[in-house]
Amino acid sequence: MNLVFDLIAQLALMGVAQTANKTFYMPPQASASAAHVDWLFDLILWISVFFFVLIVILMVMFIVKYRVKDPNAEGPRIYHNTPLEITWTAIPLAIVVVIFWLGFKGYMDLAVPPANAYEIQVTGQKWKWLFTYPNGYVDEILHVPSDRPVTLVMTSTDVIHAMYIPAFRAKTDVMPGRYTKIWFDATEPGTYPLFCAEYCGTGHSAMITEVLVHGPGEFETWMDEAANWIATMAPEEAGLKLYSMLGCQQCHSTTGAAGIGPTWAGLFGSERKMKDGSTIVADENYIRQSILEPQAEIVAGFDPVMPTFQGRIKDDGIAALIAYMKSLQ
Amino acid sequence: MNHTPPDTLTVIDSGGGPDRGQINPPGTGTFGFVVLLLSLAVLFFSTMLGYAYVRWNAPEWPPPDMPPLPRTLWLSTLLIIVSSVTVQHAVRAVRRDDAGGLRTALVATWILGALFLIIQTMNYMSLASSNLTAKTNLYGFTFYMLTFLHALHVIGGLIPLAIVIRRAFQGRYSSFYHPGVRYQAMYWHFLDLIWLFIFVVLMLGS
Amino acid sequence: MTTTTYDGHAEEKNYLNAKPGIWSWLTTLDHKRIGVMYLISILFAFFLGGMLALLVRTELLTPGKTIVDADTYNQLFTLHGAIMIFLFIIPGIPAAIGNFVLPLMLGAKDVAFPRLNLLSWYLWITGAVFAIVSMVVGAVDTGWTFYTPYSTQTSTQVINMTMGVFILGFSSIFTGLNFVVTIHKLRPAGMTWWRMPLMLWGLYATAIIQVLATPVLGITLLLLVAERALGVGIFDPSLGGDPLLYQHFFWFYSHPAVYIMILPAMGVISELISVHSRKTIFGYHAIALSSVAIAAFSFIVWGHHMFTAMSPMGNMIFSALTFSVSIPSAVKTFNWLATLYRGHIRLNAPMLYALAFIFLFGIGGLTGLFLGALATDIHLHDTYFIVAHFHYVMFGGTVIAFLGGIHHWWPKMFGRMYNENLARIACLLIFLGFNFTFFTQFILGTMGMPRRYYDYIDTFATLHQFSTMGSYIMAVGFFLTAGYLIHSLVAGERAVENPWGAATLEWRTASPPIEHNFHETPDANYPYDYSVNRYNPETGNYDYIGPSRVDDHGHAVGFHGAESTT
Ligand code: HEA
Ligand code: HEA
Ligand code: HEC
Ligand code: CUA
Ligand SMILES: [Cu+2]
Repeated sequence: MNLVFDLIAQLALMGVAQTANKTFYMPPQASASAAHVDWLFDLILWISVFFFVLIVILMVMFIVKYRVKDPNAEGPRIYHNTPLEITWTAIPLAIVVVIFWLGFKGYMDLAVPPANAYEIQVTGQKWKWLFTYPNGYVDEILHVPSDRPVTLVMTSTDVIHAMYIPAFRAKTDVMPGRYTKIWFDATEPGTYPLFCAEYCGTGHSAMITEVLVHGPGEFETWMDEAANWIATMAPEEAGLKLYSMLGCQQCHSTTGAAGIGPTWAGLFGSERKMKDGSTIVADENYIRQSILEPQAEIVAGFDPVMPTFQGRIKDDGIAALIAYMKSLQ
Repeated sequence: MNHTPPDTLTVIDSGGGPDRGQINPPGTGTFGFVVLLLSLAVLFFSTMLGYAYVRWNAPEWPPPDMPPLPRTLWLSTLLIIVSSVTVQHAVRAVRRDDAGGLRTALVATWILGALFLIIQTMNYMSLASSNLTAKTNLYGFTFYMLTFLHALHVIGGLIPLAIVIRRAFQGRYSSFYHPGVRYQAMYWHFLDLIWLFIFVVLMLGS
Repeated sequence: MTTTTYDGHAEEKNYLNAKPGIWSWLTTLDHKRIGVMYLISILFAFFLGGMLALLVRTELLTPGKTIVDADTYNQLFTLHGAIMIFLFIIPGIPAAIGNFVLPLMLGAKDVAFPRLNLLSWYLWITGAVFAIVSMVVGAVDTGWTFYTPYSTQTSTQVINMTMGVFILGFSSIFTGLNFVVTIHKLRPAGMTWWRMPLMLWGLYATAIIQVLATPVLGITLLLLVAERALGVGIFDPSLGGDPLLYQHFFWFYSHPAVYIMILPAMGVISELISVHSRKTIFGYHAIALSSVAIAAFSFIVWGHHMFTAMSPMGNMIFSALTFSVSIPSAVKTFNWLATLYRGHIRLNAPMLYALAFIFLFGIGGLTGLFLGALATDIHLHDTYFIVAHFHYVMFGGTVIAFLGGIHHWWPKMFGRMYNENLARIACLLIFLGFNFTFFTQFILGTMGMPRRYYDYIDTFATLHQFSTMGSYIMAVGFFLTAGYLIHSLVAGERAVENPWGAATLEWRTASPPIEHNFHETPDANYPYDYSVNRYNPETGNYDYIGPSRVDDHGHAVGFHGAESTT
């Protein structure tokens, strides 16, 4: 019995194989699984078209043929017809069994990432995406190599979002308090839209960015450059970027208002009062120490809650931050 | 429309009453009541499933430093089982036209129900004094959620029971006519059964 | 005593004019009056929801801001969805049309519990007040699904709205309970389960879902309110709770709820198709049982709304189960078609709506197959494909059947005919406008346009404009409908007792019916035996002449089984 279903599926497959590529209604196929999804979509589409056309043709034929002539006439009393009824129960049943099975098989390909996949950490938050690469570099655009499986390990800091890349036919919810995964094998270099597909408030429709699929070898080049991105920018600008990338802005304002930590406005070069009563001038060394060993000196009026950034930031980064602080005089 | 003798059910089940001229066949009211109880049962079972889901996913239950569930839950259970017996007594009494027995049994049921609520309140107070309220954590929240939902339904049962008692004292019930007593008894057994489920689920959970 | 038609004099009082004054309406226990009050109420809700939809569509006319800002847009589609679902389509057919016809079809005087029936309407009103108050003081922006943790964090009127929905849930349970009991207990002599009109099978299956699924919605909303009020709860991930649990709870109700919407519609269609093609329904048992089967299956497929969030195991099970529901739907569709075969088809407004139903529900249902299949749903989930799917089934299915039902029973309800030609034109406008609006959305969805988007990328602009234009055409159709129906109330031609030659019992009393429905309880015949009527060219009425053959007890014989042919 199963064999029969498989055969039907195979036949259908051959029938739609030509049309499975690039249709006006599907986004470009840019991942290894896209073709399979589209193929299944088209299969269901043609099954649906077949039944729909059948139904509409019969309907129209009956309407045209059996219009009322005599208000007293009554149609023949056909109460039922067992063979007919069994047929139209069994055929749809067989069809849906096949559809289910193909859908499930295709889904398992989408759901189970291969072991050797390249891993990128993703954080969804209202209303942007942050992609953290293995070397600690963070970006708001997703860069991926082509022809290499990539797994996104995702979590959210607030409400539920959903990672949706139409060109890859990939979608998974991104939830607070747990990690979910999505994987794909990008095949076509190019830029594709990336959406948030789970409603998350005001900026839901603005929570879109891009996936940039790099051609063979280009990803590594980009990564090296990206790892050194600080060198490519003016130091103040790089400092500003680090300020939001590393999350300093959660505690430090640049406006003069005290947050969890002291403001950076006018910080550089000023005289700082410590908890133990001493005073220190905020020079380069002091700031460097504050970042790498925050607990060494605690500013008066604040709690020692700042985490160390040892290992997460290198000297060029510290220099950039200092340059940025200097610009906040 | 139907020619059944005017037994107990026909009279009370006549839905719209004379104003709509609708005479319902015997058992209509009872059947409606059963459907209502089914609906309520779904409410309680889905809540218990929610509890089970949370319990299953919790690393530790009760969470560290949390008081165990109060022992007096056993007392509540005993009370409500006894009240089920008394309410059944009331039904039997009214079928025998034993007006005195009916009154005693109904009043006893009411008192047992009220006692049950008092014990539940004391349970809440003892938990609250060991710093477990509905706001503390899920352990607290689920306990209060299940028991409070049940308690609300007990309160919702005591009010009509009071009315039934009043009518019993007015001598309005007889072996022919006692719908209030019957519905009350069905509802009471239902609450008893639901409580037993909740109790078992809570005990298994911790 | 078979005809109580209008002959110009000695007019008998009917349920509309039997008791005067607004107070007599507000305190009525008459199921027909309650049905009419429900009809007015839900049409008001439909109007409100429709106007919100037009605002939604107008905003989507261009990318970026067209008329409102993002927050307002989010409130608009939430209110549109919530009002359409909870205030309009769930009570829709059962509480308005069902209330009116159910006791009449049973030859009964009323439902089993008329007071409960009235209470149900008042609960609807209370729930509606909550919903509308929440709209006036700041609207909700959660989507009609109220997903946590967004719904526990947003600053909008979530508690107000959820309490409204909670109360509406009670209203729905009471209607369901009343119908279950009425159908079980008040069937007249001669009407066995297998002689019950299919409309009643539909209502019965619906009522079972209403009674058994709605409590879950109740507890879900209570837990949501508790979570917002106390700041703790089982859906909160920061405490070890789980937002997925919320989704399980929500869809455990809301999936069966979509069959609360479609089953009564299928009941209506079964009546319309048979009556207006003057041919006994084909596959009576299959249609009746498939209603019950849909109701039963509806409880086990809810997980298909969460394919992008669950484990592969869960997904596999729910996907397989989902397909089980499509079989009984397919069975019904084919049976309706077979009923048309060799019938005597009358292309009036009710029939046009019935045919439109088969067309549109066919598309809506078939697109459900794309969503039930895992691989394709991953791509389509939360895109406009979903929006299109559910408008095709809910609007193309339920609303179209509702409109068909309104036109079919209108003469019975109000004793007046409407303008047939205008009705056909309006039906066409709605049909065309609808396809314009929502077929484009299937394409948008497959192209990757996510739903609940205030703004969109330029690729999608043209299709969105098409869609918006379609919605305006549809609106014109609806205003036309409202126009000629209101006109019919004041100036319509008087309706005869049985203008369609239907064989169900509600056509054996005056139009509009007398206050107590029947002078004497009618004896049930087979509901699809059209030989019981004879057309009277003078009055335009189908006079009741009784079944051609009766058994020893005077009940009609000669249907299903006994005379099976082909
Ligand atoms: C009236 C309401 C209604 C009805 C009847 C249906 C009917 C069906 N629905 Fe739909 N659905 C909704 C209302 C409804 N739905 C809503 C409101 C949502 C979205 C909620 C939200 O997220 O906001 C939704 C979402 C939804 C999803 C979730 C999608 C997602 O979010 O990712 C799925 C997935 O399986 C689904 C499947 C189905 C199926 C398989 C049917 C089946 O019952 C359809 C059966 C019918 C047919 C199959 C057609 C008739 C048969 C033939 C023409 C013969 C040929 C048949 C075969 C070959 C099988 N629906
Ligand atoms: C029964 C249910 C129902 C109905 C009928 C409709 C009807 C319509 N819907 Fe809606 N819709 C939903 C249920 C429904 N909808 C739900 C549940 C959602 C999801 C919300 C969410 O995401 O949370 C949704 C979402 C939704 C969206 C997606 C928003 C988004 O995701 O960003 C859109 C966009 O186009 C839309 C459009 C429309 C339009 C144009 C109509 C039109 O067809 C409306 C036409 C109607 C009128 C113009 C009213 C005219 C009425 C009268 C004149 C009264 C008199 C009538 C008579 C006498 C018969 N709807
Ligand atoms: C969790 C909150 C938090 C984060 C995140 C944080 N800080 Fe701080 N920071 C503090 C607090 C609190 C203090 C004051 C107490 C102390 O000196 O440790 C402080 C002090 C400082 C000081 C000394 C300021 C002064 O007024 O003397 C510097 C410099 C500084 N942080 C830099 C940084 C940089 C750079 C980052 C990001 C890379 C960062 N901080 C991230 C909380 C934070
Ligand atoms: Cu994030 Cu939508
Ligand atoms: Cu569903």
